[in-house]
Amino acid sequence: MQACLFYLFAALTLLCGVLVIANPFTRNPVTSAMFLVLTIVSLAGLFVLLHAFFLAAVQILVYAGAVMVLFLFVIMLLDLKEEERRKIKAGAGVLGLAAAGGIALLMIAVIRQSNAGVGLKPASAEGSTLDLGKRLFTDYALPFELISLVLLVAMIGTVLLSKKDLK
Amino acid sequence: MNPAMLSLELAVIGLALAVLLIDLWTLHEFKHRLGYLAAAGLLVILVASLCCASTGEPPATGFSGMFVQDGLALFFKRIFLAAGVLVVLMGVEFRDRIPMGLGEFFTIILMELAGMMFAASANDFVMVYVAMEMMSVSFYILISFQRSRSYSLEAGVKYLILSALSAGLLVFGIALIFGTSGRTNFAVVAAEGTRLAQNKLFCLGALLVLLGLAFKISAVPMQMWAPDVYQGAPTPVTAFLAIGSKAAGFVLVLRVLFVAAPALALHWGKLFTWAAALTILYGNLCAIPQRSLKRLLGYSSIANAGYILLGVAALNPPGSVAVLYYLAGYAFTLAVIFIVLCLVARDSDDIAVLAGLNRRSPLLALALTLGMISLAGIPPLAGFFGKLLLFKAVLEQAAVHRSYLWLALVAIAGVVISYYYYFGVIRAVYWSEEGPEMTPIAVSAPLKVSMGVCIAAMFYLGLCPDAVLSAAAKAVQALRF
Amino acid sequence: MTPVGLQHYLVVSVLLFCLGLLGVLVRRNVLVIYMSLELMLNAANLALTAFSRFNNNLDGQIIVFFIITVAASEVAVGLALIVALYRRRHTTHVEDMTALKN
Repeated sequence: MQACLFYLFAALTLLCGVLVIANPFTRNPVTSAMFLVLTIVSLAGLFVLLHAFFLAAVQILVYAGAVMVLFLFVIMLLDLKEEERRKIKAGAGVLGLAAAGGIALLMIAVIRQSNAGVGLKPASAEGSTLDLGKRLFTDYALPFELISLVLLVAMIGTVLLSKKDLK
Repeated sequence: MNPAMLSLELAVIGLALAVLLIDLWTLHEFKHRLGYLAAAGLLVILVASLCCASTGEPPATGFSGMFVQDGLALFFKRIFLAAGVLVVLMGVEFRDRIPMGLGEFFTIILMELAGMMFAASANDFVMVYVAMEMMSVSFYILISFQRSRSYSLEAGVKYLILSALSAGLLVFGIALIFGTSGRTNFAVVAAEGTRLAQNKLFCLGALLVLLGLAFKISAVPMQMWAPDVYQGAPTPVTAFLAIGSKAAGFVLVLRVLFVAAPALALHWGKLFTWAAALTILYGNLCAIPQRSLKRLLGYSSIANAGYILLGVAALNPPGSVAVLYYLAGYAFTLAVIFIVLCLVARDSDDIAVLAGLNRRSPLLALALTLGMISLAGIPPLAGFFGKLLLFKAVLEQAAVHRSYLWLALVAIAGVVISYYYYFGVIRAVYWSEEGPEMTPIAVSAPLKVSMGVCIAAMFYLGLCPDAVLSAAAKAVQALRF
Repeated sequence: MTPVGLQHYLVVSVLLFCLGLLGVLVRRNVLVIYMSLELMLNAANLALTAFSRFNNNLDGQIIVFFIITVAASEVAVGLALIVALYRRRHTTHVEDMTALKN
């Protein structure tokens, strides 16, 4: 059962990932964004299989919910009609495909060679809110506080970059 | 947990928040005084770090090993603080070209500075990531701050895409390192170094992390953003990118290589010699035909990243001392050049704006000339002694491995090529037809003082380098070779 | 059917990572490039979570938290920047961004 679900979610993730970057039917960025939402949701499925329950929820709430809505909002705002007329240059496409494919094969070969995870059984670690919260506020307190500064900077920056007239 | 360790960073963040708040009650015509406030505050913090802050001896770690305060971290923090003072003063001079949000401009520069200081103290891959992102997000905003100029926005978008790409590589590398070592702390990873160095997956992770860092130092193969972004960004931000971002990248490279993975560094000498040689050649050869001064400095910055990589590639303590010394001299040299550019290259930064500069303002002409001489590496200025140290470190290694000889030859060829374009700038200042614009340039008192300090520092570093060298030698004790 | 192990998850993660890389290399629309970069970050998140599960160490999941948060703030700034550029240039194509040349 678990294995079936893994293959289902993995196939969905990769299929939707392909459709994000190369959709044969339409070149509209809105479809790309919608398939990215599907990729993220299927990844949340994989997270559940890995017993990272809280992360799965965050993935859907924050990534699919907030980040992708922002993307869609901007795409609608910009009204990108012209996009659909441009073609990917065949030469660049083939080169990119060769490069990315080569890197993928190399990395998979490295994973096979290094015997990653051979003999490792899924362990008892459960991504429960309690355990994660404890770590976040003890061992990881410093980076956690730093993230708050990143968010503050991002907030100031977004206001500055999009406000019409600021005195 | 010891919050006192963070006193320097907390002071900078507090200053940033204070500037942001005071900005609310400041009238538009007085906003530039916020810049003087920020510069004065940073100067106080810098002086405090020089006299009363702990010397970093013995090194102290805190926050579950995330943060380390040692000689290396303090050395770089002082460079960042000095650069911060100079960049903020440039920002004050630049205020007429920033249409809005001057207070926020200074705030984000200070936040950026705090990010660099955290990067200097990072002792865990999580901290590397968070500090890098703090720097990147601030730079997105700073680079595109001149919203009305489409150059500035275009540079911002280019930096955004390539920086996010490098962050993606970095994060995937950290994931692989975490997976193979089980931890992200530098000390824990280093303790298992010999076992992990055999693990190909770990090596791949380390390689990806180094690629992510190569973006910050603008080294081959992640160098292509530098000329465009340097040209499009507001001049004070370009200065901060060239001085601060590069130094922060190098301190992280040193830490990742010689603290987290010393066992791996031994095998990777060849990789770094190639990166250094290609970076030097690319930067110097592409700089030759440039007409835009900021673009020229972008390529020169790539070339300099290559020279500094010589010190990393040497894989020995003298090499790392040379890296630290060179970065200190480079900071003051570039600061003086960018101050001149802030004042002179107002509407365009084509090399033609320098025409007749020696009559418009002999002081600026002299400052720019000294800066270029130092960059070219001619005695007695800081740039010369820094290059000498780097070459010495490489030649020392060449006694062991013959392959380092050709690296030294490539570097010398690069220096010779660079004479051409650095002297092209000096020629434009002194021996060119009169430009259309011949009004004298007024230089404000703070900028006069800062140029004086930078020039004095360039001479001091070049003529009596002992104090800085001993500080750098103490700093690299944190590294293992 | 072999039991699903760490390697299976890593292969999915690597494939997703390279898909993102491919998108960055071949697509010319800044927004789609930015989405491809999100794919790369998601690939790293999957690898971290899988390592976390199989190494019995929750630290990996904490790192995923940080990545998601930082990515969200990065997207906010990045999209604001892209909108600002679109207002001036009426384009989101990298091929049209050629003002910065010699």
